[in-house]
Formats: sequence, C-alpha cells, structure tokens
Amino acid sequence: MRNTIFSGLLVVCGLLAQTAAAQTCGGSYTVKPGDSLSEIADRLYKNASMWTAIHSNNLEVIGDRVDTIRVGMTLSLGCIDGHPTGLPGGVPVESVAAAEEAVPSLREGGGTAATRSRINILTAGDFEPFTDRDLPNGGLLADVVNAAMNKADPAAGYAIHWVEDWGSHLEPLLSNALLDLGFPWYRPDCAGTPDSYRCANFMFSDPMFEMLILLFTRKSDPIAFESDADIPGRTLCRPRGYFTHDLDRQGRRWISEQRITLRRPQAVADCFEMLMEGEVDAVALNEFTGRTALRDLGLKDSVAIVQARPLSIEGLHVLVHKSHPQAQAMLETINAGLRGIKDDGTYQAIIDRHMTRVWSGF
Amino acid sequence: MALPVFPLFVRLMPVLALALIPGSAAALCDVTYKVQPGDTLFSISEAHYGARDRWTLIYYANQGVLTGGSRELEPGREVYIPCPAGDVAPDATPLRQADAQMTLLTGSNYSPFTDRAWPGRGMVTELVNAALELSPSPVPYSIEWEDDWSRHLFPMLDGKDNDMGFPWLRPDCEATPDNERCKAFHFSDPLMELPVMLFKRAASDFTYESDADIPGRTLCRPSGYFTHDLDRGDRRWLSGGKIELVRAESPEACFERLMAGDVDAVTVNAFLGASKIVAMGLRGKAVPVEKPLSHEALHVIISKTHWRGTAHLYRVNAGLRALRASGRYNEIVSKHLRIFWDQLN
Repeated sequence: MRNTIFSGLLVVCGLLAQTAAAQTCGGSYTVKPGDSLSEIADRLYKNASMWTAIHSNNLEVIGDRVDTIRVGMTLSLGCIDGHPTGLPGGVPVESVAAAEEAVPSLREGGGTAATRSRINILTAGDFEPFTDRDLPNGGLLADVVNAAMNKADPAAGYAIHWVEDWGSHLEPLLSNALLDLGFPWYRPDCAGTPDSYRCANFMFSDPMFEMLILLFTRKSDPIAFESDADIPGRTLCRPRGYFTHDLDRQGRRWISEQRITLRRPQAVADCFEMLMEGEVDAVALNEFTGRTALRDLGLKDSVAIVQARPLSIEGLHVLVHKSHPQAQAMLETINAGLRGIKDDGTYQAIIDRHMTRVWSGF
Repeated sequence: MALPVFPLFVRLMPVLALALIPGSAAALCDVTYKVQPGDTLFSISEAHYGARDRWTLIYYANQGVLTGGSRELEPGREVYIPCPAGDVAPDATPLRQADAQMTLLTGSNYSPFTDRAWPGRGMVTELVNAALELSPSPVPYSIEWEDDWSRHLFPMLDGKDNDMGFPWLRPDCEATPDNERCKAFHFSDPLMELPVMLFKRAASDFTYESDADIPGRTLCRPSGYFTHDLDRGDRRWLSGGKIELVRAESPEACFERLMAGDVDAVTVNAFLGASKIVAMGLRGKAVPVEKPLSHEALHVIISKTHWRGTAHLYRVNAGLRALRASGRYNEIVSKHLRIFWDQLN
C-alpha cells in the first residue's frame, strides 16, 4: 500500500538530490529606478508579455494596478521555462526541470492507462508536524489526505508526490497541471480579498486543520506585540514559498505598503538562525511548525512565543488550480473523502495519533 | 504658577450614589474606598451595602487588584465598590445556532455557574456566550447539556463528541504535569475566579488570619473535590502531614461533620458553602471565615488532539478579553451575584 502511495517520491527526490550547488531559477527581485513590469519581464523572462505572470505572482505586493510598482519593492519571480536565473532565493535549475520531467513521466512513462490518469497529489516536507517524509506516514496531513483519498477511492487511483521546494508548487507545477492537487495550503480571506493570487487562481477543499500563526521572538530581546501598531518598522522572517496574506490583509497592509521587512530564506531553521543572530526581530510561523523547530534546534529557552496574540487563525486545505480541467471533480473527490473519514472516525484517530506525539514532544 | 485648586478638588470628588438593594438597606456604591487596617471584604461590604454577605460583589469588581500574588487587602489600596446590578438583559446571541459546527458541553446543577433553570442558564454560560459572540473569526456554536458531569471529560470531550467544555477547574499542571486533565486538555484563560472559603461553627474559636493558623486543624472537603490548593509549594499541609483532611461523601456530609464537632472547618467555594448552609437550615450556625483560603478559577477546556484546539481556545480568550474591556463582563457577573444572594435570602 505504502509503496503505491509514495511511488514517484523517490524518482523526484532522487533527481533533486543531485542538484546541490547548481545555478538557481526564480527568486526575489528588488525593483530599481525606471523599472516597469513589462521591462522586468523582458529582461528576466526574455519575454515582455510575461509581465502578467509577475503580476499574478505578486498581487499581494503590487495590488490591482500594475503602474503602482515602486523602487525597492521586492517581487517574487517564479521559475518559468528556466528563467530568471541568478536571483537571490532561487531554486536550483535542475530541481524544477527534474520535477517537471519526473512528474509527467509518472503519467506518460508508466505505460498503463491507470498510471497515466490517476490523481497526482503534491506536497513537500520541512513542515512538521503536518508534512515531512521523516514523520510517521509522512506527517499528520499526509496521513489525512492519504486516508481521505483512500476513502474516496477514485476509479483512476491516486499518488502522493514529494517535491521538496514549496516555491515551485503553485507555480509552475500546479498552475500548469503537472500535478492535480496540492496540500497543505492556507486559504486567504477570499471573501475579503478575491483578487489575491491564491483566491484568484485556486480552489480550496474543506479545512483539514486549523491553528494559530504566532510570532516567535528572542527572549533576551523580545518585541512587544500588543496591537498591530507595534509591527511596522520590524523585520520578520518567514520561509520562502510560505503564505504572506496574513501580513497583508485588510487594515494591515504591512507588505504592500512596505511597512515591514520580510526575510524569506529557504528553511524554517534558517529563520530561527537569523532570529538568534539578530538579523530579524521575529519569526512568523504557525505554532506547531515553530514549536517543533524550537525543540529540534534546542532553542526552547532562548525564544519567546507570543501565544496570547496570534497574527491570525488559519486553516490548512488541499487546493487545485482553477484552470485544471477537472478542478471541480477533484475538489469533490477530496471533500467526499474528508467527510467520509470524519464520519467513520478515521480522521479523529489520525489527529489523535499525531497530536498526542506532538504535544508530548513539546 | 497658580494652580486652580478648587475646581480640581471638585472634579476629584467621587460621585456618590445611593441605590436601593432589594430587601436591604441603602447602599453607598459606585465609589472607590481606601482599605483601612483591619478591613476585610466582609466588613467593607457591611459598611457600604449594610450586609456582610454581599462581599463577592466587591471581590469580582476588583479582580484586577485582588488577583495575583497574595490577593490580600492591603491597607491603603483602593477598591471599587460597585452598585448591585439591576436586571440586565442578556446580549443577543446570533452565533448560537441549532446544528452549529462548534458545540460546547456543560451541565446543570452547578448554580449559579451553569444550570438550565437559572436565569441566562447560569453566570458562566452567559459569560461564555458573550465571549464567543465577541471572538475573532467567529464560528457559530451551540451549547449542549449533559447533567452527568462524570461523562464530560472522558469520554465525551476527550473523544471530541463536543468541541469544548465548561466550566472546569484547572489542576496545578506545573506541579503535576502527568495529571490526566493536564495531559489531555488545554485550558482557557480564567472565566471567573472562585474564592475557596473555610466555614466554621459560629461559636467556635477557629480563626484564619494566616496560613500558620491551619496546621494541626481538621478540615473537611467532599470526596472527589480538588486538594491541590492545600498542598501547594508554600503549604504542603497534606504531604507534610500538617492537617487532617476528612473526605466526606458530599458537601452536606461535611457540614454535618462540622456541626457534630468532628471537624474544625468545611472548605468549599463561597457559593457552594452559602447555598448548603441555607438549604440545611444552618444560617447563623455555620458561618464563613472572612478570608478566602485560596482562589480557584473556572475555565473552558478543549482536547489537545482537537483539530482546532488552540484556535478555538484563542477565540474564547480573545472574546473574554473584549468582554472584560467593554465592561460587559462586570455587568453580567454583578447581575448573577445579585440573583444568587436574592435567592438565598
């Protein structure tokens, strides 16, 4: 059973593993005097019409009006067709290429109709306790998604794939339907911000888990967080590929109005290293991933958790790109599976198993 | 520089209000009072309301002053004397809906805190309702009643039959992390504090001025009730064998042992003690010692393995903070305290 579920995982990750010190693709770009979106697209993507991709990838920063980019604004540029290269925070070129190659091969190279047509589901690790291949059953939500799909039992079959670069998931892997479903992802307030990138481009399943997003600060030098007014001027850290909508919502335009500096290293551990070295004022993470990192990095006594005042309450979902031809059917499948395992007790048993381990670890 | 002394003096004059408490003398209230040496909450209550048994009104109106540390009434400290509340209509509860996705579990026979027959279904029920209505990213909720309290924690809340439960005392989880309640549940911020009192025979010479008065005494607390307050770090009355603790089967049995002279004092919370004394016809025969022995708090709890555990708890805590900040918290508590004492008298 497990072999079936995680097939492809070794293919993809085996390829990823070879790419250590290679050229990078995508990353962050700081707007310079004289820049326009089409000028940036022309220079970095070699195609001026790609400005729409830059815009849609940075809606939370740029907003609706493309003429409002300002010098110093940091744009996140996805890796598309191997461009752009050499930006800070990029992913190794081969990893995206490998993912793009490896994943279709699951469908086309496998030979049987069942392999080609099955539902391919995308996740990645370093997101304890929710998803990590070193955790039992791949973590709490890998366990839940697997059980839900098993319950839904789609005729086409399904497989869960691990591509260890969150930054490549929404763009290009899911946006190009290289895989069908992705998890676990936060959903912005789509009623309030329908134009945000995630709301405009993705549909979300029912929530699978809900939790608090907290600030983790240095105990020796904690920052106050009595109200939102305490945050502008601060430097926060959140790993690359993670959501930012909670930092840029109604009444809290910290990113689009450049009220804070947001550092985006590759890994959770990098953020805590930057915190301890005084490069950032706080790490903004969900409580479980944050607490797990504190435990693993031995920082429990050095880091204070602002538990009483979360940045937000967020749910974790499965998502599908709106352009996917079977988007609606895919969502119905995962939602039916989730309802099924909630009704038969499987869901609660999984949560119990993982959360008991998690809290006893803290 | 000439200061306008006179107008300042006029502005600082407290607004004195004379209000009629049903069935008692006129009250001097909505004032602040500077604690004098020898004062107790009971004596301050008598001075302002003409009745010693209204002291809990002052206790709850000054939780910020009295909570934390020793909660002693230090001379010179200012306490606020609220007016007893009139009839305050409960707030609308648009989020409380049948078949809501979030259900809270409570039970009856725990008045004035939770009871279906009590106005507003109890003081704590009304506080929880009001807090949830003010919570961030609110979730519709319903409240379910199961009068067999022994089923609440295990299996119902542990098994997620319901999402949250109230009102529950929190054990000393720092000292006893292996306590099953500490291991299985998260606790909200306190919904309200409960003064735990000593009740003695009116004629007895039992006194409680300080903890030094307790060793050598025989106390009664019903079986199944918590005891950690008697054995906390600065007391160790149980583990050190300093007192004899009788665990009678019920609060009534404890009061019977008290009147029979078997024990020096019964120790239960102020509300339970006052109700039992009236119900058993012991008014004037069994009386509270006028200094709380300890303070327990009532909480909302949620299973640590609930998929929205800490998120739901934050909803309660943030709603509670908003309720306190609005002043509505005090109105609700005052109203129920008045109802409680009216029912006893």
